[in-house]
Amino acid sequence: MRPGLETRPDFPVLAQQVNGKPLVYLDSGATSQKPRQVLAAVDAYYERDNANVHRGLHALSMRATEAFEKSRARIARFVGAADPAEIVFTRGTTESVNLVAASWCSANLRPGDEILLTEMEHHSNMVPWQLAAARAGATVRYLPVAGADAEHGLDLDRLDEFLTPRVKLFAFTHISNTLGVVNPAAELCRRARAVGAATLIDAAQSVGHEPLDVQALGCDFLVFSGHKMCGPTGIGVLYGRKALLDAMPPYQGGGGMIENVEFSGSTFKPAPERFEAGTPDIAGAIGLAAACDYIDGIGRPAIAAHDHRLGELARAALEELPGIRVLGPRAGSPRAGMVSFAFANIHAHDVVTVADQQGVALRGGHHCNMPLMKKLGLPSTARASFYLYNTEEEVAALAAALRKVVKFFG
Amino acid sequence: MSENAEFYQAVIDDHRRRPRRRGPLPTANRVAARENPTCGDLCTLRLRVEAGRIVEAAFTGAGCALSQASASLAASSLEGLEFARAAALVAAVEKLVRNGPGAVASEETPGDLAALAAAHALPARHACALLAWQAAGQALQSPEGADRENA
Repeated sequence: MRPGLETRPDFPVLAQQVNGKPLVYLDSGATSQKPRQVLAAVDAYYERDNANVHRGLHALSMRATEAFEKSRARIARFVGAADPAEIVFTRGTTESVNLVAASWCSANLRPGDEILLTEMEHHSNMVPWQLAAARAGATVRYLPVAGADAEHGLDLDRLDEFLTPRVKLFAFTHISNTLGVVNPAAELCRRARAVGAATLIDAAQSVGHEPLDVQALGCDFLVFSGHKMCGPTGIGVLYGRKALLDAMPPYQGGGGMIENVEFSGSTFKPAPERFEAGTPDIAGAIGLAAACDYIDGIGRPAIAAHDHRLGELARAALEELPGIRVLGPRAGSPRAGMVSFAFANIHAHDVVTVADQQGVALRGGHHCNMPLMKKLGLPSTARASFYLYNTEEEVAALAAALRKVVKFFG
Repeated sequence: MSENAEFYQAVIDDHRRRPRRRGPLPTANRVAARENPTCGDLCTLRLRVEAGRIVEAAFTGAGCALSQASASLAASSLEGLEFARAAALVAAVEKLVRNGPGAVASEETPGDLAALAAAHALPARHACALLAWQAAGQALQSPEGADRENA
């Protein structure tokens, strides 16, 4: 058996029993666990440097500001951004999408315009665009997901039909949280550019798992959350090309984003401050930078290889089970480190509850993609998602737990 | 596994495998349908009410084991009850699931119904356990009339 990444001692939460069994945490697609290094960075900030940023003239405020801005630069480097000012801190992927949908769309979307999404988007990369389109009198269209025969990939043969000059923005996920499909993001950005559409990549499932470079991808915006990549909850990132960000109107108003305020009106700072009204999540930003250090200390190519291997092992093990339907890529096709599956006669919630009794933590439900579930003819699926702390033994534990599920409900 | 969990599994499994009162009820004069869009569970509860008493009850639907077993428990235990008693039972089951076994006297949820207490420990699944009971509450309040779906 090949060795894992030897990271488990870094994750205190994993060393526990659940329902009398060792915890097998296979829900990193929902949120990852946090290593001691990240927890220590957050604690150290609160214990030594805590103060408000950007406006204090005293020592602690200067230290907090320096740590906060260093974190921004670290995250810029992590995603290959040309300039730290292209990194806007948000609460997470959802707020990042909402920011672009509210601000960029208010300046750029006109009646009759189209926003192109795909059928595999998370609700967070769907609903904000529906709201923005309704405000502007624009339309949202969806690039179809191909059937099981095509391994649930995007139907790229039909891209030209959807990606017309009417499309002002194409927003799509890098890795589907429901299917484990990896989309050809650089190619999609190139095709969008050719028709003059801006692009937004939802990198929530990819940025902590795969090597990623916004300049190589050629995207205009890229959004992600800290908590799915070993960082704290409550912090996320909007990467935006500087020229686009500086041309966008403010999202929320308040302190920290203004240049000058008069009773009659205000002027605003350039990006990123323009989009960071109020006291930001300073500790979260510092924790997220520590997560970048942690991940790059292991290496994203190694993490990607590890995740893909566990995903593929799980796919192969699960396909042995009677009555199961495994979604997404088949053997030999690229699969992210996750497996979604459904049993013909066992509801996903029952699967998850019985697995939990074996200590195995899965996700069950519609994975925040109700329209896709409807299209696939499934009320819900169960999902096992893997990360750098998971092991081959845990894939075996998953298979054993699911055999019990089959036995119990069979 | 605790005794409680075993009892829960045995009862739920029994009602899942051999659902009571599952199917259409052409003579129904009260009907309510509930859906839990989060997990896709569906339950339609049909009652035939005569002189303030539930003479017959039946359900149709699809979903997880818990929702369907709970629907089986609901339909079979509501049958024969007078209106006031049925409404009290619906309220007691809701309390049992939401607040746990300590929240209701054991005679309020007799027999197999006590098994639903185990759902209390699974907050994410309260909606599954209560779907049929909410349909029952709705059916009890619905105006009397023919069930067009059954026609």
